[in-house]
Amino acid sequence: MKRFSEQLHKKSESVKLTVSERADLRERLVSYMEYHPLPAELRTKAKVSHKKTIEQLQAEPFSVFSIPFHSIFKYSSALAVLALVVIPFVAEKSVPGDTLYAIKVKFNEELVSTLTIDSYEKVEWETERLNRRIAEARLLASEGLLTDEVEAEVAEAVREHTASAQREIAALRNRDVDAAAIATISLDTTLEVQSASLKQTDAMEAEVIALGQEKEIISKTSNLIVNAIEESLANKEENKASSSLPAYERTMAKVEQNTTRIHELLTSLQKVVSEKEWANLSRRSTDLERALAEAVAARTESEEEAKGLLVEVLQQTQKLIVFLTELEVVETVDIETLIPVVLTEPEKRAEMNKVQTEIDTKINQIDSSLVDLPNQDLVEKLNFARVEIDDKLSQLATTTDEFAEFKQQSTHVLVLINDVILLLETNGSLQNKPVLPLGEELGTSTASTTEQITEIDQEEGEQTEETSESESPVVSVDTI
Amino acid sequence: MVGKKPTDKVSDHETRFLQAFDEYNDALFRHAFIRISNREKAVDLVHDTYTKVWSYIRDGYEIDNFRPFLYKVLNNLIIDEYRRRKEVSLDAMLEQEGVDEGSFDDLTESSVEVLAATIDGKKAFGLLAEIPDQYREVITLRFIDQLGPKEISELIEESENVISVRLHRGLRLLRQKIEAQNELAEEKRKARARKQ
Repeated sequence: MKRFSEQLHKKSESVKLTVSERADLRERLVSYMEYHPLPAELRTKAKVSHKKTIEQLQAEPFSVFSIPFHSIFKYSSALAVLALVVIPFVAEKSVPGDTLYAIKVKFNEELVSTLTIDSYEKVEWETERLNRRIAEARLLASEGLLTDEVEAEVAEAVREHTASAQREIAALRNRDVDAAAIATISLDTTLEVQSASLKQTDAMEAEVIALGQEKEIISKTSNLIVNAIEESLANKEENKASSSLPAYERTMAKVEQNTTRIHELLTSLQKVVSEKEWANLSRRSTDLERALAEAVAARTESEEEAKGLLVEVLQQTQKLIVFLTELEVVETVDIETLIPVVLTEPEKRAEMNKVQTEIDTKINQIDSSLVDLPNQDLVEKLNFARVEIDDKLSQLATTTDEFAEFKQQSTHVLVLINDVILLLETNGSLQNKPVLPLGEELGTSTASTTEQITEIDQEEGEQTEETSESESPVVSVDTI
Repeated sequence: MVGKKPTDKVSDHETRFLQAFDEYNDALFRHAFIRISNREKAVDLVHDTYTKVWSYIRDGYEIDNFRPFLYKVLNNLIIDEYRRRKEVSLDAMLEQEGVDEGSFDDLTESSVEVLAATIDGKKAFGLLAEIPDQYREVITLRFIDQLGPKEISELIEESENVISVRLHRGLRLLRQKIEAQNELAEEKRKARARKQ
């Protein structure tokens, strides 16, 4: 039986489908399945396999191969999500030189540009792009990756963005002069702040080199970018001439927007920065509010003046916003350089009084030293200086109402006085010698007086120790 | 074998179905070819078998074991095919009339084995086409497709005894045919020898 069964079975194995018959049959069956799909409740994840073995393909040289549309459609949604969401999202963090950088600049940002219809918003977006390019350059510089090529690229991008912002402004001017004027102000301010920040960085770098320190340069941004910004700023100046001040209401609306933004930024910063820094920042905010109140008050008298004041406020708010939002700027520029503190009336009075007192104290000092001075040459010289000081002081007395004027005059007087004191000091003839901070002392001495000093020094160098013993109470010079 | 039950576990119907195709297409084709002796028709029958099974799956039947189910469907299709070929089925009916299915000798599996041991398998294969289909059916299922008596019984819906009888008679017929062939060959040989 076994033998028979085996023989029969073995013999029967010669009966089988040929390769192409089998492939055909399978194909027929698969298409039958596709035309008669399972009902939805039975449908499962895995689908018909379309893979063919090499053998099958060789046996059917002219068979039509099928494109797996099914799986293409199946994964197309995932691919679309990847292409439209994931990649652009990841690309946002790229810097020049990265693979995805082109997607960030040419796709993400262009998409926003295209979707922005309003000219004013377009200007704002171009400004933002400008900030981004500079921030990227800084980031690369901080990692030492800023090559000349990338630098040129960034400078080119800066030019491009400002140019397109200007184009938009020009277009805007035809329709809405006020909006154009406000847009110009925002763009200018951003450019100014960035330029200041970049210059500061360069200065820091120069300082580091000058001091001969081997310290690694934290960030190096090149002149190319600064030049590009300066160039754009120069263009602005030309444009500005043709553009008038924006309408009061429009400016006011923008100022209010900005102050709200500043308020939000400050609130969010409160917990992050130190108390001192925060006080410093919120002081600016209060200053702005006061300036705003002034502008509002000025409106009752002159519309034009109010506009001018308001535009200034707008510029300040813009600067403050850039300062608060661009981290890199904070690191390089002191807030005082960008937005100096504005003093209130009582503060101004106090300041003036302080300066006046200082001047008085120092004059008294000089006068008392002059009484018994052995060197006649010096006495003559000092008397001459003394007359000049008196002259200046009388001028100063007339300008007590104008703080800015007073400040300027008093600075001159103080420089003169300090020179005299320095002269006396080097001669050792100073009574109640005030102790000045080192920087102040160096900063106020002019070239002509230092020459004199050295001359006198050579002649009468021995007397120095005599009077230097008597120390006066410390007079600190406020640098504000 | 087949049950219409709710598909609580969603098995992968399509994959399983195509696996069943890859696994059994040759065996089904062989069976069909031996039964009807027409290559193209056999291929078509295999195709129809699978499409029928696919329709069952679409109707929500859960198939646990494909092999017997596929054979069952194929067998039904072959029977249909015989019905269409009237002349063949008439022959088969005539053959059947002269057969006594109840004879005692034919009823044991062992007697089938004894009988099978006396037959040359290679020669028998060539002669399968010459015996009536009801014998060819069981012999193919038993010796070529190598199904057990019980499986065959379920498949063709006959008792195991009937199957044993059919196997026995089928084999006997085959042996007769082989013997007849041998005799013919012997006579020819003798005739040639005489001529010489």
